[in-house]
Amino acid sequence: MTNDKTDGTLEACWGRVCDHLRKEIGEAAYQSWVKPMTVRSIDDGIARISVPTRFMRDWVAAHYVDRLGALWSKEDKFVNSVDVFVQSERALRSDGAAASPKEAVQAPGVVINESAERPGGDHAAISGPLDSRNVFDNFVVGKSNEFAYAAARRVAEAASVPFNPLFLYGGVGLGKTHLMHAIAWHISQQDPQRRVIYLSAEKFMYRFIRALKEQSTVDFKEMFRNVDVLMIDDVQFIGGKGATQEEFFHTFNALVDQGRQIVLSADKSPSDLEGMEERLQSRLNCGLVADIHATTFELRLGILQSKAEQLKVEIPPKMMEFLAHKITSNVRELEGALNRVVAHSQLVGRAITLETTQEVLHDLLRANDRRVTIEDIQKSVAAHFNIRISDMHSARRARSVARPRQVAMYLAKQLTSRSLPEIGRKFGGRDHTTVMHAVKKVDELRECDQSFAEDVELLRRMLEGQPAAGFRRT
Amino acid sequence: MKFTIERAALLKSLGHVQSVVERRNTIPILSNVRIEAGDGGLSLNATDMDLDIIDHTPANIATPGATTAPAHTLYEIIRKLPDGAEVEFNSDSDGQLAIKSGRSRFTLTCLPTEDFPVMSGGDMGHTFSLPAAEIRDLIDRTRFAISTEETRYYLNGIYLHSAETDGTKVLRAVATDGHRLASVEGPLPKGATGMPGIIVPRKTVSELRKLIDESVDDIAVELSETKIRFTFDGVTLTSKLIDGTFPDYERVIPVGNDKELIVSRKAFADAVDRVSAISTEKSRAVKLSLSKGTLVLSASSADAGSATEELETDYAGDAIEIGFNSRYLLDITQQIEGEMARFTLADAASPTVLSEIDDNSAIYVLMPMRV
Amino acid sequence: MKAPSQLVLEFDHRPALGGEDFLVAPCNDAAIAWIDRWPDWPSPVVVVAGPPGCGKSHLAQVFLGLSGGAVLDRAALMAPPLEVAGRDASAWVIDDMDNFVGDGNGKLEEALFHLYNSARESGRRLLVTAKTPPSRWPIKLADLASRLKASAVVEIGAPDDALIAAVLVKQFADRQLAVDDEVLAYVQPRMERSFDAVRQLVEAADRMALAEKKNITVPLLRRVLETLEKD
Repeated sequence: MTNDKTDGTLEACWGRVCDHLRKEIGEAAYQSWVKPMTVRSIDDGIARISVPTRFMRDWVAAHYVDRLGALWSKEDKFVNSVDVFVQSERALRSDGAAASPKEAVQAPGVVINESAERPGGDHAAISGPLDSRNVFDNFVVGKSNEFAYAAARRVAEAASVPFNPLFLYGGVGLGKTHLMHAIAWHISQQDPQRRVIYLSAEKFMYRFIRALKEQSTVDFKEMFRNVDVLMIDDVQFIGGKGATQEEFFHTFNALVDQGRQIVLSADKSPSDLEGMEERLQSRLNCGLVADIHATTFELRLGILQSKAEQLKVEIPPKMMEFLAHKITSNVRELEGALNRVVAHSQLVGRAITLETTQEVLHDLLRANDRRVTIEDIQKSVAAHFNIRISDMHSARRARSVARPRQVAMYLAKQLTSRSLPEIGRKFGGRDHTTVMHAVKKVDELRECDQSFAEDVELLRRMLEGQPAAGFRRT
Repeated sequence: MKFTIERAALLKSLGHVQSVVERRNTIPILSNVRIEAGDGGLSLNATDMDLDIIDHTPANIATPGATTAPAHTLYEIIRKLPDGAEVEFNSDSDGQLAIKSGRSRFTLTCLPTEDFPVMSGGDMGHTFSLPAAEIRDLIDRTRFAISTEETRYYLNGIYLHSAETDGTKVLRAVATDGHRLASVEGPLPKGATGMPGIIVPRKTVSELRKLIDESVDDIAVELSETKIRFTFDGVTLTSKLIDGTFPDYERVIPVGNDKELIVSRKAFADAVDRVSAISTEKSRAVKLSLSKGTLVLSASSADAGSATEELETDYAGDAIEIGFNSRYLLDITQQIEGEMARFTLADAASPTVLSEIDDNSAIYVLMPMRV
Repeated sequence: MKAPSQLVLEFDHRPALGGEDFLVAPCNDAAIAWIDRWPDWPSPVVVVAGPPGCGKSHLAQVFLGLSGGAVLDRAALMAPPLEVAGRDASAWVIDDMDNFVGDGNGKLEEALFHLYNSARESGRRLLVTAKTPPSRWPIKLADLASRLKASAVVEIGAPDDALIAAVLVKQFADRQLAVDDEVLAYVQPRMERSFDAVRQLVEAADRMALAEKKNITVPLLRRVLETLEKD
């Protein structure tokens, strides 16, 4: 006997074995232990079954294998025993022998790999990597950032230094780094001969400290004073760092004196930077200081639309409006939120809707995660069905109160981690079996009564703090 | 098969193997001892599937052959024969074993030797030899702490492994039941380097201990990840090991206990014994109250009353009150060989360490009782 | 007067943390999908958030095995840049971020910020586990906070009945304790239904059985449930 039996027969046989076992061991045990099994083959009278984990194999081997064997041999007298082995999806993937169902799903296109590249040239080694998506064309311009944008373009396009330094500032995640990268890309493409260094203030500091340690400060100075364009991101990080500031000050002066371009960014205006020496502050103020304001709704919507195009995904306009309304903090978080939703939908293979958006971003959309209590549930359910809260605890068995009470017990089980005896106690000292019965009953009713199922779903969403249908107020 | 043997020699050999045989067996053949008469004499083999023993003894072999017979019955028969008797065994092909001695005649029903399970040794991998006295020492001073709870199968034996003490390699035996722990060590024999840590089951420990009670020679030990074999005085004892992970016991042995008490082992044990007479059977709690220069032992019981006894000590640490199960105290003090016993304590809820004063090869860790 | 009670030696146990030992269920399959998909992630950082005992650290172990990455602890984070142990690893893990953030340690936040940037620049990935999603972390450094909030977050939700049953069995097995179906069937509908509750229950049952030298039975678990309820 080999596994040349048709799959249909094998599967059908297995199906019948499962059905028998399900009746014998009950639904919960069935779901936990039997359902994850996959029948692989029959060899020499041994049915070979795989389970995803080692632990599951041990458990199944200890508890169900004999029974499985017995049931199977009733279905197929050539089968006399069952062998359980571990075959995880991960194992399937790594040995490449078979593709797991999950892998069959197309790899997401979004993903949004932050490809980092460096422009060419000797100075490339010092320069931090630039994100290839951070170019002027991808920068969505609105009232709040048009000035900074224009200034950045000017610096990028000008043949000679228009103003020195260009100091870009604004709150986090509003696009300063995007503009810096865009300037660097533009210059290195227009005129590859110009030496551009872009790096974060932290990297600048680190290189300086290392130069001090290695006693190579001469090389350090040489390196930085020999560039055409020096761009340092997040200069607020050198605030309070005396020696680094000193060095930066001299580098700054040397470059300005030679007519080289300097572009800096920070989270505050030069005068507001903490721990910054006055003489440096006044130097920073000498050129053009351009700030980026908080975004407007229109800009946020524009950014989302542009981002969606980049990602090449269809996103319902309603969802974008919702996000533009809700995530007002900054552009990074707005894009991050969109990324999260898109990535999640591709990961689980579901369409992007307002509801999935609310689900995925629930932590961003709600100020706190207050736990739902049994009392909350009783209150909401009583209000919904128009009965008194006291009926939740009463002994009355009239259907008009018994049914809502069962719904409340069901929701208490779904939405809290309370033990069933405790739920029972909160419903007028009932037994945990009463709660189990209520859960079963509600599950059955949800199966066969569409409007009942919707009622329960509505209550669940309400209790979980999600707007029931879309966003009605903003 | 036909042979004769002197009663005392046979009884001794049967005595070696019969205690491996379980009293109750669902598989009939496991109640039997395999008897084989060959060129070298008589060999008896018994097993419970986890532990297998073969004992060789000289006999007058007339016709070589083999059979199996009920072990306990056979043992009873031979035991009841008069001292000095010659016993004749005769088995034919019809599954009967005839035993003749003086005027006594017995016929035992046999089972075929092919059904008798053979424990394969497999590749043992590690081989060394240990003086019998050394093994006795390792067993005697740890076995009392072996857990008897079946739920704790991984504690139902002695954990034997190679370890290091102050840079010297040692062979260490550890047993614990979660309440107390015994750790005893001796020099690591040649050939034991790199041996896996193994858990030798309680039954194997106790059979081995009985068998080597009077041995003076070295015992050959072979072991692998799953089995261990001891060979000595014509006996081969092969045992499966416990398939479990012994806990990381070293982390429960405290090193920073700052209160040291040194008392006469005997005076202390006697006092514990007397005071605990009053405590209820179940808890057997005894309280030790330590203050400068004195140790007061006390026990009380709601029904029986109370008892105290005072011992003079040169205790110089901070005052402390700590409760222990009196039986555990007695178990441990019994293992301590010197005249004086050393306690190091931390507080009433932390493990206390007991040892001899000038011998660190054995230490005992005891958890207190909340009294 | 309370009867004297025996205290027990505090043995550790070694939970099985292999990939095959992870119990896959609806509440954690998205988290597993992200791990499996490494390094194909939408952001340098993926955050796995979930309640205590939900298997975050186990997932982190699985991820380490898969990626050959290194765990960064507080010391590693606070070391000067480029001197971080495991800096050259193929991926990084910060387990239990809740232990790191929230104590107003500006230096630590700055270190995390630079780590984030370094991950982005080098194309490496950082897996972070925590009890709550980044939007709930009390981070003062705005640059760091916004980067983390924009990261992919996957939450491990409440376990369903089947997973509770499986986790119960696994945790008993991790402690080398054999328990009967009967015991599980008794305890499951009577206990609080959370990962943490399973952990507490198994630990308490282990301790009580060890102290009293008893098997893990229904009567023992009845008492365990009573004690846990009192606390």
